Amino acid sequence: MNSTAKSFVAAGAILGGTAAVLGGHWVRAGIDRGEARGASIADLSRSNLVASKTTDVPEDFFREMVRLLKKEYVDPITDDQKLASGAVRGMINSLNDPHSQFMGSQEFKTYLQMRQGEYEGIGAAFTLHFDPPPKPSGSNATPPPVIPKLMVASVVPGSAAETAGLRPGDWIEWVDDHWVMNAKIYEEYEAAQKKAEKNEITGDELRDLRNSLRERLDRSYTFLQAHERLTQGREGSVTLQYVRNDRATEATLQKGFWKLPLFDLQGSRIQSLIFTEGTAESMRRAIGRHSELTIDLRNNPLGDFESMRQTLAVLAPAGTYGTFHTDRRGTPQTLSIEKGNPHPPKLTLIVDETTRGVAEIFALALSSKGLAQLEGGPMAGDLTRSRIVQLPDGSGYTLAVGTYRPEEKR
Amino acid sequence: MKLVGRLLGFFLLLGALFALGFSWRDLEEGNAPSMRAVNRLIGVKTAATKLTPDQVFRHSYNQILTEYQKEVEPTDLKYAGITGLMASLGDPHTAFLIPRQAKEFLLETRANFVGVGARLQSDPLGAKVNSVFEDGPAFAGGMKAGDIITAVDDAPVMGLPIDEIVQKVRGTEGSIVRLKLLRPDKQDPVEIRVRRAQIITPTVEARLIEGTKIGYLALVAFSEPTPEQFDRALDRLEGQGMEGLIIDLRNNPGGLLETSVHLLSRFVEDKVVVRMKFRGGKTEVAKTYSRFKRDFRYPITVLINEESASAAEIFAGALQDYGLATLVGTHSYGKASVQNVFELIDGSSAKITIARYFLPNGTDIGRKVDENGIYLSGGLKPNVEQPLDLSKDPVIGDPKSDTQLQKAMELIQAKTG
Repeated sequence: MNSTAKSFVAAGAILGGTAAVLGGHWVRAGIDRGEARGASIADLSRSNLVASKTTDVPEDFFREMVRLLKKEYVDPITDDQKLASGAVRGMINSLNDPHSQFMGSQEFKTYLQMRQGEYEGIGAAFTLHFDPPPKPSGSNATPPPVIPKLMVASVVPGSAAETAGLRPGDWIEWVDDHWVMNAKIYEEYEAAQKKAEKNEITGDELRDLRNSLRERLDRSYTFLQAHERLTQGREGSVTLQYVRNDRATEATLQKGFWKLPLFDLQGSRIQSLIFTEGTAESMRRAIGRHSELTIDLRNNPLGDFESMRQTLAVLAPAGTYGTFHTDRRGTPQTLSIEKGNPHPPKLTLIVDETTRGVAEIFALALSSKGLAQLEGGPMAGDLTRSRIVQLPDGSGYTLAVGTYRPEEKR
Repeated sequence: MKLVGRLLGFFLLLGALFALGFSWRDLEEGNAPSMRAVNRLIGVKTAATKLTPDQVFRHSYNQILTEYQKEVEPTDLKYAGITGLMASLGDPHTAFLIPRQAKEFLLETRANFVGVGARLQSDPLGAKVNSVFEDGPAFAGGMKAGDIITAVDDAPVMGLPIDEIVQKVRGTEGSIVRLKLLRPDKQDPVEIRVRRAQIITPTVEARLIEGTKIGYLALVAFSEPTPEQFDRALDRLEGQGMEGLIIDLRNNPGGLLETSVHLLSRFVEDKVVVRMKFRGGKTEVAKTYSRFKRDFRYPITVLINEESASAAEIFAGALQDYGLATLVGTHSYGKASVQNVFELIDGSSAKITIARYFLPNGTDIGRKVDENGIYLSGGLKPNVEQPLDLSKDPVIGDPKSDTQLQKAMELIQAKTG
């Protein structure tokens, strides 16, 4: 080879090498774009000229935000899962729905345990209760924020909560000297303002009220904080004030741990039934020799939907037992059983306002088909079906996916 | 044979270079090559043994959109997710601004704004009027310090954050805003109508406290003309025979770091004001200038509270570190960081903390909050802790009702005798 040829080869090699690097980068960019369907928002954002369509695709927006934060934030960010959970927390909280709640890992663990009948803290389950918000005074006024109350949903038999006299329907206003945010603050203030307008109270009294409101706000617990204090930990004690029929009662409770069986069968009567893993199977064995059964569904706010459906299949023949309605278009999902019990026992269900959620759906499904007699009082009216999702870092959430409506009685 | 070997070597090299180009994006970001992208290149679906953060986000996002029992606006949901993502860092100053907030933020950073000319502070009933600017429209409309705004244009504002109330009070120039006011001495609320106008906020308010030789100097913000206004106010007070000075930094949200450096140059020459640490350990130091130093022959007390932030904290903190003033009040906000705002394609913005600063003696006053935004720690610690007694319906700067001011006066009187 002469020197000219050599330099051609060398030039070719350099060009080829450069082309290979650029080609690799180009292919990779193509692949990432295939995933991202657009250019990066982060790379360009510094120039304040972000020309990209990626923000139309939420996942890309998320990815680009993570990339931007990792590049610019003052501290190194290592825990991507925490960022993802934070994003999910933000989305769930924005729904502002008591049946759709995000929970941190510890709280979610407690929640899952409670659904299996394992209770810590004071031995009670809670729900957020929304009172109708006070009406705005002006015509084009925005209504004040709706604040729910932290309400007792059920009390574990033999628990500290039961011993202290707590009952479902009570709501918690103070925990350990911390005021638990609730709508009463608005009610009180609205009432006082009306009185002031009618000259029924003095400016001083209104000011006193204001000061007491401020004091309460200054040392308040959010629902989550209060809930955590009441449902977590097996040691120590907690002092609380609960309200029933506008009357407040203070109590100090020793924390502990209570594990409930799947259910308690005595004669032909089943008590404290928990819809959880294994319930259907145990039920199948238990009812073998009974042609009549009474199931007490009171004090039953937490339950797993799929376990309830399987239990239903043990106690009822195949068929459709109602539908789940949403605000969106499309065919509603059904509650149906493929392989049921062709010879169901005669059922009596004892219910009242502490029967809610999955247990309430269970009771309505059976009674609407004439398969069970309902006894007791009206139920809670909480017919929401929720999905339960766990995230990789142990946190999780519930998501309301439909409201149950039983089949019309024929 | 030799040529085949050479060619083979060359193609291997090409392959390696291709791989380098392929992974460049990852290497640049300090990651190992993305197996996910490699797998996609050779057509293998990544086994989802554990969901990646992207997948976690996408799964929940899609689930809420398709399964949640109510219709959700996809854009709102996306923004809620990004807001939560940024909140998860636990830094109150790293935040996502949806397009509307991003626009407001831009307006706010400009010096002038349109409003009624009053300073507001939070109150359980709405917004309490802290002071009314003498040449502003609210003053002309009869608003007084101590009034509580309970409704703006008939909409009740109770329970709203103070920023939101301020937003409602502000508006376009020349428009009318109706304000419902609760007076401390009146039972019935009064309503006033105020025409909004361009407001130039005075940043220094100064006077001798009635019946004393103690100067009271309130710094409202740290803006460009502040050092000059500060000098003029001090000259005037000294001319009136001032024997002690109270600098009130309560509710001062800060402003320009440069102003803080200038003000501190009145007290010390060529001394460290603040050390800034950037990502990756780069450090910058701000020092005071020479030739501006004043002769302070009287004791100085500085009032701070939880609304004192940023440049105000640097000023107060440096005075405290150099032993030049006694700090009275409650802990300050704890804003010890620098933010950059990144504007995004759809009009939203990401405000991200890019550096932290440390006081002369190295203290990190950064505020720490929990996931609910509740204060955990941070801020300057006053030398003398003194909360504001709210039961007395205090008006900030009024020696009769302002218990923090009373404490500061007490401390000065103890020194001057």
